[in-house]
Parts: sequence; structure tokens; C-alpha cells
Amino acid sequence: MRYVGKRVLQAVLVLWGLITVIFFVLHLIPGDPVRAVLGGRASDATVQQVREQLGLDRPLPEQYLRFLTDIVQGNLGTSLALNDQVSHVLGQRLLPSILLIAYGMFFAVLIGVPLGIQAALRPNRAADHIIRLQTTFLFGMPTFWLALVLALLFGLVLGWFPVSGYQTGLGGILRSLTLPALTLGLSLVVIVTRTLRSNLIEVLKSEYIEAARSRGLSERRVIVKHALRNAAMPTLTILSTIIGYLIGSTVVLEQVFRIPGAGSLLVQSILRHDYQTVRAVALLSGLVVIAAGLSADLLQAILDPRVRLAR
Amino acid sequence: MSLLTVDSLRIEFGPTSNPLTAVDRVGFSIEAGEVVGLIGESGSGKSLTSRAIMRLVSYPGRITDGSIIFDGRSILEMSPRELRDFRARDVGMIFQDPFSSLNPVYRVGAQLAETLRVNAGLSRRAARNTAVELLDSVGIPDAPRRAMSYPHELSGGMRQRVMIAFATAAKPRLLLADEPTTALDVTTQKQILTLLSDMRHDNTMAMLLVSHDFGVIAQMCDRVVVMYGGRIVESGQILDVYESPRHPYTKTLLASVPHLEVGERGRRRLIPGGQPPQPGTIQQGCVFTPRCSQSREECTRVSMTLEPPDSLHQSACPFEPTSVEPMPLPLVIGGVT
Repeated sequence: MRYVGKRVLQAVLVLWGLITVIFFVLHLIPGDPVRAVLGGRASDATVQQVREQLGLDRPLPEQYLRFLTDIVQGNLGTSLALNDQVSHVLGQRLLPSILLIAYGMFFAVLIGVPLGIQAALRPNRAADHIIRLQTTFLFGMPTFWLALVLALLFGLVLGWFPVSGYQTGLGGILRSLTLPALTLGLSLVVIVTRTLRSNLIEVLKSEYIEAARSRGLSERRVIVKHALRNAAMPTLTILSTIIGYLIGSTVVLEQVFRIPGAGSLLVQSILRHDYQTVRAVALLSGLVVIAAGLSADLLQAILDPRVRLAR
Repeated sequence: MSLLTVDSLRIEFGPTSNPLTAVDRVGFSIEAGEVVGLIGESGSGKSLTSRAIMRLVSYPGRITDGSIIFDGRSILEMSPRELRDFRARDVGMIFQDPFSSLNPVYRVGAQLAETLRVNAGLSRRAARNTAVELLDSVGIPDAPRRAMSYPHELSGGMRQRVMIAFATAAKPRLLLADEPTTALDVTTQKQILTLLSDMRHDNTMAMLLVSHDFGVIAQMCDRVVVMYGGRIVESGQILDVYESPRHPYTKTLLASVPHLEVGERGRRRLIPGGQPPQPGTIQQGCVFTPRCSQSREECTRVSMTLEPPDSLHQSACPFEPTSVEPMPLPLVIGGVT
């Protein structure tokens, strides 16, 4: 419990730091956001009026404090470009992105774990080399290119999945997210496979694995029950740290596959100079990264009793 | 017929075209209920030999020659199914390092119960109860509570007791003990050896005790097999080997054991010539030649066959032993080397 409390406190501190950074970064960007949104022909009076409306005329510490309290209350501000509450806009676009990342992770684990086990069981043999080559190749391909290839193959040639757009209903959502999620998953497979492989090789050398075999437990049981749980933990940590990379990938993928998610919202908002929304998306991405790290740590504490002893 | 017969065992590493031989032409037998010691320095191949009996030599090591017969069954020819049954029922193994031989993420009682469920087909509840009984039988106080502990919450001696509970759960006819007390302090060492002794008498279990410690071997074993550089250099009844070692290596090994009686004046004679050989290509002649104080020209041509055949006390050195001073049995358990 002490461990959990400590980790949660750390996460809150990091979050606070993140909010502060986001606040100042947007103030460092050259140009006047109000002018940018209103366009060059807006009168000085209008600009001044909007500035006051947004509180941009107040001193910096006061703006910061207001920003902080607004966030705590869940108020992300109003988008000038969309003339709507940012939280409302974001709420509509969030689900597809979250589903996309989760679905992509699912593919990465579904494909990566068996390959990692296979590679670890016979390291430096043909299968291991082929797996390494293939997964590295997939990782090396630019996301948009891999997305197009998959869309061409499974969407146009085979016609299994829609190439573009977002359907409704659970089946429709899953169908339309399959190709982007597969793209995401495939580019991640190498990370899952490589970390799992090296950790599994180490774990399989350990004496408790030999001891488990010496008791006549089946090889399957030895690997799945005794080795995998110990080897999975570093993989878990790495997966949680690449969440940031995944969020970046969704930006591209949502463009390619025309998914109305937070990633495409970000692109649109940047093009519209919609600072309120950009700020909210950035904040949310950071929040997701922090939450992922925290949950990986907590999961690790559940999986390995020794972690709970760490001070 | 012996319970276990190992014959001309060879274990190799490295490429098949140019293999490194770690164990070569090793052969010995264990009778039912007998305790045999396997002694040698690190790298002598003693641990590998004991693992080979369970077919636990892991990649890239491999058994390339010889046979291992347990109760009339050839272990090296067993199917995976037969091998699992053999490991589950006929033989148990305890390891050197009790800190790493238990899975850190499961409670010890659950690990023990898993084995009982899988191997003895017990129900969940029965397995849990039997696990606690087993922990109790190896002298773990407050066994029901200890069963709920994780390995890192137990002391080294406790963990080794847990390992013994694992290894003897199925009442095997043979127990392989690979340096079972090396990682423990002297007091715990004695307790564990006493426990092993009791277990073997209660269950009429044969035992192969692998150790580098002549004190441990002398206390526990009926017979001893001395290994050096992957070869057997001498074997015989424990007292015969102790009182009249025939191979120069055994002699120097015995002389390196510290004795209480000798006191401060006594100086240990160390084995000359540095390090034992690394696994390598098979060489002609005796493997001990480079370090042997009595080596002669013919040594590079001897075959290292154990002589005389059909004798209880055999040596791989064909030359007459030079006189040795009589060596008293050490009083301490576990040398302070």
C-alpha cells in the first residue's frame, strides 16, 4: 500500500509539472493567438475584447492559477475556432483514439508474445533470425506507408475491412479500426518480441526454471506459468513508456484512415490555430502517458511481490 | 542390478564440428539406498554430470555419448512423456542456490501444491493440505503460515528445506543434491545435512551428493567419485579413498582440506599449476598432467581407464602412488576453505 501511495503521489507531481510546461510553452510561441484566430482584418477593439474574454490581458501568474484551477475542475476552455467547449469537442473524438491504441496493443501482444517465445526457445537459430528480420522490417517502415500497404492488401484486394471512415456499432467500430490498429500493432511487434525474447532467455537460464523442469512439469507449464510471468515485466514497462509514441502514430493513422479521433482533431486544430484545443489534446496525451506508466507500475507490483518492497 | 548406471558419458558444448568437451567417459553406478559423493573443483563437470542424469543439460550443452540407465530404463532414450514421469516420480533434485531455485513470484505453498496437483493428481484442496504437511515434515516451523510466504521472505536454510520438500514429495528412489549446503552458513549446513540424512533413512532413498567439500562428502557418503577436468580420476569407498588416495589429484585435494588438529603450524599444500582445465578438445593422456607434481613423460599417453577393473577402489593413474602421510578425517563439517 505504501508503494502504491508513493507511486500515485509521484504521478500527480509529474502531472503538475506537465500542466505547467504546457501553459508556458503556449505562451512562448510567437504570434498572437487571438489575432491568428480572428484573422488579419479584425479590428484592434475586437482583438482586445476577445483577449479580455479569455483572460489573456491578466498578469501571467494569475493566468497560470486560473489555468490550473480550470483543469482541476475539468474545464478545458472554449475553442475560438469551433465556438464550442473544448471538453465537449474532445469528448466526441476521444473514444476512437483510445480504442485504436488499445486494439493496436492487443495486436502487438497477440503477434509479439508467441514470436518472442519462439525466438527465445531457440535463440540464434533460423526462426529467431527470421523473426528478428521481419519485425525490424515492419518497425522500420514508415507508419503511413505500412498503413497504405495494409489498406491495399486487406481493404482493396481482399476486401475484408473498410479502407477509410468510421462506422458505428461495436462491430462497425471494430471493423473500421482493424486496419489502423493492425498497422500500429505490427510496428510495435518488434518491441514486444525483442524485449520478451531477451528477458525470457535470461529467465529460462535461471535455476527455478531448471528446478521446475526437474519436478517433471511439462515444458508448456514451465514456460507459460513459471517463465513468462517473470519475463513479462520489463516488456510491460517498455509498452507503457511507448504510449507516447503510439499517440504520435495515431495522429498519422487517423489521417490515413479518416478516423475522427483525437489525433485528427489535433491536426485540424493546429491548422486552424485553435490553441485551446491543441493545448487540451497535448494535456490529455500527457495524462494518458502518466496514467499508463502508473498502471504498469501497479500491475508489476501485483505480478511480482518483491516490487512491493521497493521504497 | 544397480539403481543407476552411468556409462562413458560425454557432454559437449560449442559447434558440432569442433566441440568443447566438458565431461568425457564418465561412468559410475549407484545402488538402491546408497549415498555416493561426487567431488571436484568448479568446472570439473560434476554438476553437469548430475544434471545429465535428469537430462537437464541445457542448450548449447548436449550429451553426445554414453548411456544412463535407471532401474533398467535408458534415460537418454525416454520420450518427453516418459522423461516427465521419471522426473516427477523416480528422482528428485535439490540445487546449490536456494535463493534462486524457487520462483520469486509465487508463494512457496502454492508452488509445492502445483507440483502435487500436476504430478500426483491431487485436488486443489488436498494439494494445499499435503503441501503444508510436507513443509512441516522438513522441519519448517509454523508450516501453515510459512506456506503463504514468498521465497524472498524466507531464510536460506528455510528455502533449502522447501527445496528438499519439493524434491522428496514423490518419495523418489534417487535424490540428486547439487552442492546443497554450499550457499549456507555452517550451522544451517549441518541442519540441512542432518535433514537429508534423516530423509534418506526414512524413505530408503539413494543419493548422489555433489560437492567440492570433502568434509560434507565424508560425513554423508558411502562411496566417493572424484572428478577432474571432466574425467573421473578416482572412485572408491569413502574411507579407502580418504586413507589411501591413489590418484595424485585426490591426494592434493585431500591435502588442501584444512584440519583442526594441525592448528596454526600446519600449512595447506595447494594444488600446483593454477587453474583446472577449461572444456576443450579431447587431449591425449591424463588431464591432470600439467598440474601434477609427479608427472612424467608417459603421462601424456595414458588412457585414464579406471584400474583395477571390478575393484571397489579404482584410480585413473597407472603409476604406483608415492607414500603419503596418513590423513585424519576432518572433524568439522564443511571446510572453511
